[in-house]
Amino acid sequence: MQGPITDLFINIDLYSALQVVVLGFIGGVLSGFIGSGGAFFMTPGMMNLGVEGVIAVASNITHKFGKAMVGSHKHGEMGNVDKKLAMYLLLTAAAGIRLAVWISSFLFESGDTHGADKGAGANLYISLVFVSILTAVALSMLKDVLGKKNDGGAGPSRKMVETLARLNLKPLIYFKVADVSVSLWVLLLVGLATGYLAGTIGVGGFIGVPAMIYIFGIPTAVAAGTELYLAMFMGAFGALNYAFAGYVDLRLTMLLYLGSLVGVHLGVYGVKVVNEKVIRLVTGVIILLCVFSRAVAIPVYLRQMEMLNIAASWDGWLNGASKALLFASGLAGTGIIMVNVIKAYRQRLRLKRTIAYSSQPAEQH
Amino acid sequence: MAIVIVSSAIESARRELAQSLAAKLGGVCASREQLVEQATLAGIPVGKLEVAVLKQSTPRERLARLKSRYLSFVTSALCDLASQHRNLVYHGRAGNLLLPGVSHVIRIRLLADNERQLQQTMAALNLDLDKAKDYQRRLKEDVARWVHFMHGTEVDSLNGYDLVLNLAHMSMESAAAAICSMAQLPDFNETPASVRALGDLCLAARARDLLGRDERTGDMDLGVSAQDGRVTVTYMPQQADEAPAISAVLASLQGAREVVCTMALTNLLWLSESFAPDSPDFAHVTELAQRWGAAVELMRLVPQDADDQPVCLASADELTAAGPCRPKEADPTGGIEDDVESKPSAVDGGLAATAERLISLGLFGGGRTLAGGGQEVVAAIKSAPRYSLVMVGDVFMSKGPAVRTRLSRDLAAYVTERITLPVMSKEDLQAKVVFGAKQFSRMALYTALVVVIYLVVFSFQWPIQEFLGSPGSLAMKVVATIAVVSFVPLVAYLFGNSTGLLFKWLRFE
Repeated sequence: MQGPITDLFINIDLYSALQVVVLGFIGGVLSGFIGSGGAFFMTPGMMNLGVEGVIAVASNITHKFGKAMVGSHKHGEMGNVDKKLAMYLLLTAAAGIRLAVWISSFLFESGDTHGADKGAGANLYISLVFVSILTAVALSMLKDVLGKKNDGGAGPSRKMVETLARLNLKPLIYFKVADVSVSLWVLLLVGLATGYLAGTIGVGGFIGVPAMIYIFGIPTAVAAGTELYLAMFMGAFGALNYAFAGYVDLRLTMLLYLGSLVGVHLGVYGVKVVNEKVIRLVTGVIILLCVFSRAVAIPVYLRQMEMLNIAASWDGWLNGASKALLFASGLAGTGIIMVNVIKAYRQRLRLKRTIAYSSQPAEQH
Repeated sequence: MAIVIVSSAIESARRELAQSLAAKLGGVCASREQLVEQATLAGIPVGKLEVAVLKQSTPRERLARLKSRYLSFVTSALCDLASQHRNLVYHGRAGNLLLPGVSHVIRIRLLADNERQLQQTMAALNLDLDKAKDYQRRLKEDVARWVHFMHGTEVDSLNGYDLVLNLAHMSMESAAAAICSMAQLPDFNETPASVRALGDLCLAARARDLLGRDERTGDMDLGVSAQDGRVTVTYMPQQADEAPAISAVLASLQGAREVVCTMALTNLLWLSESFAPDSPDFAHVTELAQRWGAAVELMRLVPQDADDQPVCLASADELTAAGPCRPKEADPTGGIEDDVESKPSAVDGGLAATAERLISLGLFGGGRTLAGGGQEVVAAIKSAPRYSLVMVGDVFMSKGPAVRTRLSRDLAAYVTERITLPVMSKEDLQAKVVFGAKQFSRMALYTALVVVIYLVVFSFQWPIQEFLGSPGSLAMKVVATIAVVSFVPLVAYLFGNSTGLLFKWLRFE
């Protein structure tokens, strides 16, 4: 089929469909394991398949919306959702998403060429935000993990929580489920940043979850559950906006589901059987590799915008390297998780839970 | 033998009463402050723990571990004192929560004379009236925060107290005399069941204390309970490598018949009036526990005014179970009791037999009896935050079927509203756990619908994308938007349920 639609959406054959399913599976495993959407892997992965950045983000945020709706319901049953906190964050997250969609659409529409080069500005912008934000997240995560003594139960740092508590920025709002009091101003700022990033790179959870843990001081399980609840609304809002703009590729969204809804079960199981410190270490390394992968693709967009003078033949190599790095990081991370999952599953079947038993003669007191 | 525990936020008032009482009873007087000092000498940083609780400045995991160590030390120390002295008077902030389920403990709540306390504070700290009031207010807030963290209950709650004394209306001497008289009542005599409950509490506390002191196990997150001299230790799967050290450390534990170590991610609370190890409910609960890697904790719920008095056969967790369990082995008549070992299995609603079976399966997480209703259940659940699910089984058995159904539903609703945990009826659990023909049909239906939807979408992919992506009229854009946001959750729901059922079928949850 020829025409404007084929400029916007890629042709999907069996091979590319399978690649999207694999992206979804890896994203699902990682999201189940890490607790954030997994978009950091799926969005650039789709871009490497030739999907325009804005289409990749739109299709992924729509995918995230449906998944979050199902997932947050399950988290709610487990008591991990602070709806009041999510509603406060949502107030400004909606504005953040609107801002992000406006910037992305503007950059995409202002591209003065056709085909791949048209979206170069938007792609460059999305990639730069992706690289800068996720570098900061990954490095702080690794610093937090590697800087702690190996006591097996090292909790997240509470320095920021304590600093903000000392500042006592009123009004403070108490959240019953999370059992914390947070300044309204901090809430609004975090909501805005979460919404902006969710709308820009589809990874609001990478800001939302750490912010809830490190800035608000709430338990990890509640942070993940609340973020998912928030993601449902933000995803709905993002999906509405992108769908209205005509950027959602329903086929990509559905193919992502085929992989992610299987992978997420395995990822969640992995959290139960892997040491918390290892979880955070693996997460940090995976994110950092994804950042490298996206950074490698930036020269391509710069060349397409005529801001960098390199031969067009380099595009293939750079995109290939980016793709290889991304898949290497995703596959390595998923491999580590899957090895642990399978090991634990087999152990569980074999030992039926009771693995140590000892008996000793009584010595009554 | 009498064990009297006096609780009050005002240290001087409770100390004065406890010393007077100990002198009258001819027993020993111990205080929270003494035990704190001993705990600090034993290497538990109680001062830092207090600061951390008040400022919430230490990671929760570490606080929880320190709390566990501290509570087990205090319980263990109290047990030692109780075993060395015929009469023991202990005074602390919320000491009534330290020996749950032991019927020969008298729990006294002391309300101090505010005016007198203000005068004493002003004199001791050289403060004016306003500052003294402010000091007392902050002191009470700090104590309330400490009690909430330590025991998961409010300091003002009167649940579990046997007597409240207001010193504004009576002298210290009269208060001591009243408690002395009360200690003579047959209701507070030792019974075989109460001695056994105390023994299990002490055994579990000593085990937890030993584990906390040893560097091999000190940093592990463990659940410890004891029943009839049998100690059960549950640990997390991530700690499987360190788990063999548990048995090694507990080798020096005196009084234990045996030690069973069980790997468990969490605890399932099974709330019921009667248990049977050969019932379908037992099969469902244990099946779910095995899937989730959980231990099962039994809580027998009996009415407050039940004819068969509740029997505390075991503590769920010596550290956190602080519910108002009030065990009575036999109806006290005031006469001479037979010195015969009771037979709890006859009156315990199958608790002991079910616990025995769970132990043999490596799934036992504790067992206890609770008298009361929803309020008591909520208090008990809040005091032990390791649960991930509450299953309401057969309760209100003395009522007719209709009333029983309604009361059970009301109880589940009451508990659901007050705790952040899933609460299931046994019917819900059966629906979730059993993977029978019904579930298989559902899985097949969802999968078939998913296949049809995918076939349709990918057969007409370009017309659909053209409809969604082409610029058109505003009305068309709105229709396309509504189509996307309605259709996508439907796909997620159908495929999510399909994969969820598949993983359940594979027992991969």
